[in-house]
Amino acid sequence: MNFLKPKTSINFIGKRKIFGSVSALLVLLSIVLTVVVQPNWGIDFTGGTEITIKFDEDIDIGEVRNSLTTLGLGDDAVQQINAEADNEYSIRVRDTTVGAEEVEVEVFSALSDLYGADFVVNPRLDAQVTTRIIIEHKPGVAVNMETVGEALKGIEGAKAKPYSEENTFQVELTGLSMKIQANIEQAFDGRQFKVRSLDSVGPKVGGDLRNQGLLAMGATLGLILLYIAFRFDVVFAPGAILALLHDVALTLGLFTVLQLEVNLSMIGALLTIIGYSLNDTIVVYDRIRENMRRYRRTETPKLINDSLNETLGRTLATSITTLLGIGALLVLGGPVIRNFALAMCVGIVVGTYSSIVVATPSILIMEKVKPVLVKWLTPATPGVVFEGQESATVDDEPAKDEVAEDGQA
Amino acid sequence: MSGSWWVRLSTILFTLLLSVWLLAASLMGGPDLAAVANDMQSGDVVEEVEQTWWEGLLPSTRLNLGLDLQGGIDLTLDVDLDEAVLSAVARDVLPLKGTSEDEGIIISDIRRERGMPVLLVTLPAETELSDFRSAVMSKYRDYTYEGVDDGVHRFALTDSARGDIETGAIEQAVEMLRSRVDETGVKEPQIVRKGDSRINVQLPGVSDASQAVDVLGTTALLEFFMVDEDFQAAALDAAIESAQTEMSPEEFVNDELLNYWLQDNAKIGPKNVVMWQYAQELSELGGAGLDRGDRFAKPYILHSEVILTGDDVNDAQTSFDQRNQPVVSLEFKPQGSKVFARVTTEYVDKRFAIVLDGELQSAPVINEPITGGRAQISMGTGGFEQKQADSQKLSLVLRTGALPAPITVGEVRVVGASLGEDAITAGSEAVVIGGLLVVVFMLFYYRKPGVVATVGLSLNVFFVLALLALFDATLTLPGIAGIALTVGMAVDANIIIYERIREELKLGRNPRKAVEAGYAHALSAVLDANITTGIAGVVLYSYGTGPIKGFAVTLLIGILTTLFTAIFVSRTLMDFLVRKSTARLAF
Repeated sequence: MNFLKPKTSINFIGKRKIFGSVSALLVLLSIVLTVVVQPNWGIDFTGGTEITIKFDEDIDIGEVRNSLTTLGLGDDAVQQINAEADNEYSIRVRDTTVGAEEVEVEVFSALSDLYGADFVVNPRLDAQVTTRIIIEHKPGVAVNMETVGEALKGIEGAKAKPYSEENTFQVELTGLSMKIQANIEQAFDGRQFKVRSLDSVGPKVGGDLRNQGLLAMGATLGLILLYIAFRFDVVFAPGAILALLHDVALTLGLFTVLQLEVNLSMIGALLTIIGYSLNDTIVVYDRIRENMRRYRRTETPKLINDSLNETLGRTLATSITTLLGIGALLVLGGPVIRNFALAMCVGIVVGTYSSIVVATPSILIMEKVKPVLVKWLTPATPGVVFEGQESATVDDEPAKDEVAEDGQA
Repeated sequence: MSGSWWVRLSTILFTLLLSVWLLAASLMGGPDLAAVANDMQSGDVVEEVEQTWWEGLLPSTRLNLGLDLQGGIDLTLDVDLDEAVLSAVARDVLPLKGTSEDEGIIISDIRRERGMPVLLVTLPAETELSDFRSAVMSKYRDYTYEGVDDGVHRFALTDSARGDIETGAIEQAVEMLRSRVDETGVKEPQIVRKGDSRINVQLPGVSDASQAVDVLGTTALLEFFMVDEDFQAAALDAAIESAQTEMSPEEFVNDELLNYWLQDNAKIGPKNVVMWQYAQELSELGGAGLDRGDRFAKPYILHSEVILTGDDVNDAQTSFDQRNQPVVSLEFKPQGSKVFARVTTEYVDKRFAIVLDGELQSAPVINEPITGGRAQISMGTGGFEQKQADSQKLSLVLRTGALPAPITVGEVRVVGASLGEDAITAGSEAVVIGGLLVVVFMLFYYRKPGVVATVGLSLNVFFVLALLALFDATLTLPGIAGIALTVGMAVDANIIIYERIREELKLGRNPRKAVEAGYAHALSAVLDANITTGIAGVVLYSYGTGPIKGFAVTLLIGILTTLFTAIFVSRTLMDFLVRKSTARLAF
């Protein structure tokens, strides 16, 4: 069977201005949203703590909140997840210093009782998963770790440890995630509950993860640009990258609108979308390349439109099968991969659309821009020959500029 | 083409059998964690003997389940390398002072610049800088002269020395973590370096995060005690004997309970404390020790007063004594060396005990009073190799006690066992149903060639799992997602080819020619598509934090198997379909 009528011919290229405007608008909207509203960054990137607990009996969300009030967490830190009957709650705090300031004050007052009011000179609070205060003190005071340890005994979890700097020691404190867990264990002592998952990321690691993620995206795009320029032609490469940026922007935009969490696996999803959308673009490009070699006399816009229609059957069939597979993950895959699967679904739809209306028409624009660029660059740097310039198959075609001008019919 | 039928079919068959063999060990179950735990409890060791002949033929690598599927803790620890470097420079201050005194130069002042790996040296007026450099600094090649500022000479640590210290600090931290994890008895832990300054620890089956952070994230506590040589050994032996008969085996292996028992029954007063030395082999304890379940233990009665702590230790290194035997050279800080001198004078011929985190590591005999702040600890029994290993271990313990590089916990992730189970159920359900939907679509859309595609897809998934088993890889939830994507890519490869064959058929070619032309024309698209996705996969892999790495591995392996099944396996089957010139191909 076949989805398409035998001689299907849709004029994609003729409508490229409409498609282009819609896409440009959506991308712009997504970028504005992402910058202004900000996506719901997961603790993977911001640092923080997220604990999911499941009770075996009916527990009201208020009870969970009450158990955590002593830690100074806001009410919105506790959220119910899944169905109400599941009694499953997630506690999420981004700021790892929550509650540490109070302890810090206690530590300082204990120290000034011991060594005098001007003892602490330069304290540094280092709140990762575990929290510590690095305390530089007044020089000339002989500090004994055991005495300090004794003085801090009343403060929960505080342990005095030496530090390699002069006139400095550190006080280790209980980390936030451990405090949350301890509070819950105390409040619901004797009642059945399970810690389903606990994630705690220090801001330092979180920042590194974010930078590495951005770097990975950049590196992927750069390498792909090079590969396409090498395998096809320089006029093909920008369109492919433009389509990828388009897909990533729209997916991020949608996640921002829905306020779905953007975490590490989302970076994975975005990269997979890049791979998938690229796959789509390459298949169309491959056909254009083939047709350009075969029908040298055909005008570029018609050639591109024919190529799009020839590969349309494959494009549809692939999108449908992949959507079937990922759709099953979305519906049945459970909460852990739901967001991942959703991003993939959106990516597949947007990716298919973009390879038809963004990547391919860009070739026409690039063909127009290329001679101008060459003209600009050639006299300024005589003797330099651009590689793509010579190997470009499209250059073989006569009078392509005029064709591109009025080739909208 | 038709002549090579059998070669091609047998290649496919061989690959299939190879995959079955690779997956056999994983499918048999093997060292399933829960089963191992049960075995330990029931004391049932018979199973290990019962290995049948064919089990020896199974591959040693297998497909492992990731922490997100079986439950466990994943920790990322940050090693503070800057501090490791700074404290290493600070540790050179005293020896350098000593060396220059040996050379007859009394340094006016030497200290480390605050927050910098630089030594600031003030020389007495009568000493020439060049003399000092040739006599003293020539022995400290890790420093380069940076110039003089207001009469203070600056000697900076070289970059290569800095690198050595950093590498050493990380390796030391990995070793320390490994020994701490081993102590807890967690099965199949993974401790690996991650990046320049991080260490990743994976503890399968563990769920108590605060305990894990406590064990791994805090710096070691090193203490020195004196062994109470006057304590009646007979009383202790009698108490242990009574404990062995009176206490249940579970109680007997519990340190805390046994210590209470001994305190009561051996009349150990508040001035004494019991500490245990542990070893895997009885010989390591000099032949005398109790069988405490999975390891051997030897009790020591110590004076409860802590003489010195790790804070008093300046440095510890493995070196060799006059008889060329491995020893641990220990150097105390000024305050510590004064205390040590007093104690060793008082307790000649008696033993002192080195205790790390409450566990006795070594109890060497004091041969003579040690007043210079430097001590040599010789290893007790065993051959040269044993002594060398022991001394390396002890110097490591002493150094880690001396805080070479503080460790902070940068990231903790806990997956409860119940969540892992749910994830497996949900994940596999989704994969099966998704796969079925794809198969139904392919059969409906392409008919007979759809069957070929379905066979190819099933083989593809099978090959991916087999290769994962070959690489001893870990299957995670994102890994399953990667397999799902692979299925998508493989379907796409088939679709590209089939659509092309359809086009060729429309051009009026006969089925055999159409298949041939279809594959030939579709090849470049399939290759380019997979290579570009492969580029994304490679970047993902090198970006590589746990979950994403798992995804990238399956994706990359999937690309290889997809190319193999789409280009070779399904091609062979398609050729088989149209092998007769009269064959018809219905699309």
